[in-house]
Amino acid sequence: MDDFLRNAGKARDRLRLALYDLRRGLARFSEGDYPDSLFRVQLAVENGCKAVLSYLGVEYGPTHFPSVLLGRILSERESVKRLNLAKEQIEVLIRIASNASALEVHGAMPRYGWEVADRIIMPGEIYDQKASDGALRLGINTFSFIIKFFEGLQVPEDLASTLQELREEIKRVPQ
Amino acid sequence: MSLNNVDAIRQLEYRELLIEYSSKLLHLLGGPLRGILVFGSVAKGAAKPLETALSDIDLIVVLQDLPPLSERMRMYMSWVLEYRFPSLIQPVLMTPGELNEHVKARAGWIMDALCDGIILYDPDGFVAAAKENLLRELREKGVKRTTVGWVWPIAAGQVVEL
Repeated sequence: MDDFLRNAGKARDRLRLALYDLRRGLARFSEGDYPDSLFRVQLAVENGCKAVLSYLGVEYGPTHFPSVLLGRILSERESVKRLNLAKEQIEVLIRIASNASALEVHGAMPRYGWEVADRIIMPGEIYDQKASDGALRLGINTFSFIIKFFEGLQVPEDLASTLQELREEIKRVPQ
Repeated sequence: MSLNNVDAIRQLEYRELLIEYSSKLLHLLGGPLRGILVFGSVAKGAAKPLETALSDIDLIVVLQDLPPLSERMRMYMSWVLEYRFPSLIQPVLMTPGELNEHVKARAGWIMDALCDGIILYDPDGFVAAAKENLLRELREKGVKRTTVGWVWPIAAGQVVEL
């Protein structure tokens, strides 16, 4: 298998994971489980960013901060040149990294809440409908840019069909 | 305004990142900013290389006034978007009163943070005083730090006043 197919295969699988968590995030939101919705969207975007990194052939460790890696690539002239990124692609990648970073900062709080002096503040007390809705919008926006990044690029059929599924999922989200 | 103890951050790449971040934070917040303390792997000089994005950067940022926790997260998200703060930096935003409460509760993480942490900004000595008071009390009460955490010299069933 050549490098292109290997990288595209990894990107496809990352996007499948992202799609799975995005769907769960939307379902949790409609059930009123706002912290878990936010966590799923956070995870979906993490995998969306990793899909882009995989497609670009970037190897990464078990990080929860792929936006930092994307930002680093974009800040290094040599990397931009090596990856042959066009100006429009760079702009799209900046938007992906920027949106994703705002979701990554939540860290483990949507799952563990926050321990204060006399008790643990439950995730549900921190993440209400408004907070979760904001994160969901940011996530959807990030996926729009991820789809945009892949548009115009050569992608194998299975990756293209995963991207199409993602496109359709996003369209279903009420504005 | 100047930052303190930056040389104590041994890993240069993290030092540079934190200088830039703290300066932006000071510019953004100004007067209400009462303290910045870095703790965890970066303070210990044990963080994984920055380029791997495998180690987060733990900070306590003390602010005079803060909205409730849910508002804080939204507020911080907007700063990340506007000022491009790297997500790797994971600040715990708290008021001076909340820091005191945490210290009073003797949460393990806050004891670790104050004992190992590096105070980067502390214009009126508030964070340094909290650290000094905690360390003195731990010494006086004979609290020992072990590989599994902090151990108080209390016999099983003994009633003590904290």
